[in-house]
Amino acid sequence: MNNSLIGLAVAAALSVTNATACDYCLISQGISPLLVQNGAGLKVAQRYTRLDNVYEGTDKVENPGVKEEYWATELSGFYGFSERFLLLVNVPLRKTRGDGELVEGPDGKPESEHMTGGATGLGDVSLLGRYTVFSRHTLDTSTLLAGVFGVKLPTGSTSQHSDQGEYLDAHLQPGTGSTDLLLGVSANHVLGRYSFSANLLGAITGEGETGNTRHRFGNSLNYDVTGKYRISPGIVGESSNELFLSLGVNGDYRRREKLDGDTVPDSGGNTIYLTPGIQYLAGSHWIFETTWQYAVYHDLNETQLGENYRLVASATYLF
Amino acid sequence: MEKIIGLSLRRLTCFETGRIACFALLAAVWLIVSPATGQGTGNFESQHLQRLDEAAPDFLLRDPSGSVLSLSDLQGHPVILHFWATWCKPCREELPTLEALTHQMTDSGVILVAVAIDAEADAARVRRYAHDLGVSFPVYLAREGTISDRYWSWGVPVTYLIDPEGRLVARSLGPRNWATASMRALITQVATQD
Repeated sequence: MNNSLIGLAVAAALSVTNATACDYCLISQGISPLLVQNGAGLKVAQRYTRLDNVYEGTDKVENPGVKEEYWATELSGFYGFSERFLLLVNVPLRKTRGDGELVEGPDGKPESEHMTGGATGLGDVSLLGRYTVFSRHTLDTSTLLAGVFGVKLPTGSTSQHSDQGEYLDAHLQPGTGSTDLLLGVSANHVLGRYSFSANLLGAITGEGETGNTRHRFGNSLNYDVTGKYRISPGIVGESSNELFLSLGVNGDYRRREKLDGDTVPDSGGNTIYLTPGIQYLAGSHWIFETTWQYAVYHDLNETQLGENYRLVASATYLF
Repeated sequence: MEKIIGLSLRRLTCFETGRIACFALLAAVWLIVSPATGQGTGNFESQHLQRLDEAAPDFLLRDPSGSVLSLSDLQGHPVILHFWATWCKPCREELPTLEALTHQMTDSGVILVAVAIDAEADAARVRRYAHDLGVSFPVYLAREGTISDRYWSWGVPVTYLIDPEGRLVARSLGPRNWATASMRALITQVATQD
């Protein structure tokens, strides 16, 4: 979630922008993402996102040779102050890489403008609280409904340059430069070997400075519904390790961005992913999981680079 | 997004966003420092216990001498029903705290029922293992009796508090130190059905 354009004049004159990357996916998606356990723990996650398809609305069109890649290593720490209240801090390290930039050609078709470069550095730190507003436990089931609130701070750099010496596009910067408010709800139901979770996380974005421009990413809403099944052991207690398979549907909806106060037409939209995953609980302290978020639907405003997929792997240690 | 949150977000400036963020942070701090609310549920939750309210499934367990223990025999007493296993490292740390608790509450009428869910280890090995940990209370084996595996479908260690009328009132998932004043107070609360 960053911004800075390869050239304000170019961006203003041409109505095609770079990709929309999901920044809040860092903390809102995965296997039971917002249902971290009570107590305390540390989590390290590695994410890779690839974008090299171009969309006009819902239609995939020919890519003139533009590609973006994002890597994020996140360190998260969480602590449960009580059965109801839990605090989570997320510190991401981001690495980005872009080849080419989408521009509108004379015939109205997207073309690639020469640009190469990327950035590496601390991203934007987020602080999240989760408060359980409803809980009902029985011998066989557990149902939770929680509110989530927090803030994303502008701790990441927003002034890194491309190989050509221009400011990198806002999306390719490690930080956004803005303070954003995060609000969400999280629901979870466990029934024996099955568990279901649903999460909504909205971001109300502020305006930040990127390079020599003022940029405001659109408000966004991340959503996911995930089902999980314990395939081993059949009865907990037969083994100290547990293996789960999960399948989820998740997505990102984002409103259009603003550049120096002007709305960017080729920005924002909705992307939906189908997300299979594996989770392995090793003993009482370790959780390993991996998911593959495959983009199955794009509805992007005007012409944009869309995400192909995301790969996420993480290890969590529970104290 | 605007519609969902119900705010006029188009007019939300960076400064306003910061104010809302500060408010959210203050709310978080208040939640952290505020005491547990009320009696009953609040007390359980402040100790990371899940509140339950249903009849405990009956069970039949045999001790080493062959005598049978059933939940219905324990009516009138508060019961701590604990499940563990020899392969469970956290259980090894938790069992001595249960031992200490039994010594601290000898006159309370509280009965501790510890059940090992080991599927393979033989009874002698399980009891020797408990003895080596300094456990003096009787240790039962789930496979030597009739007890529902619904009790430990959440994993081990798991501990239930059962009131004198035989109702499950709380569940503790994972290990904890039971030999504390707050846990004794909580168990006393269960005993008196307060």
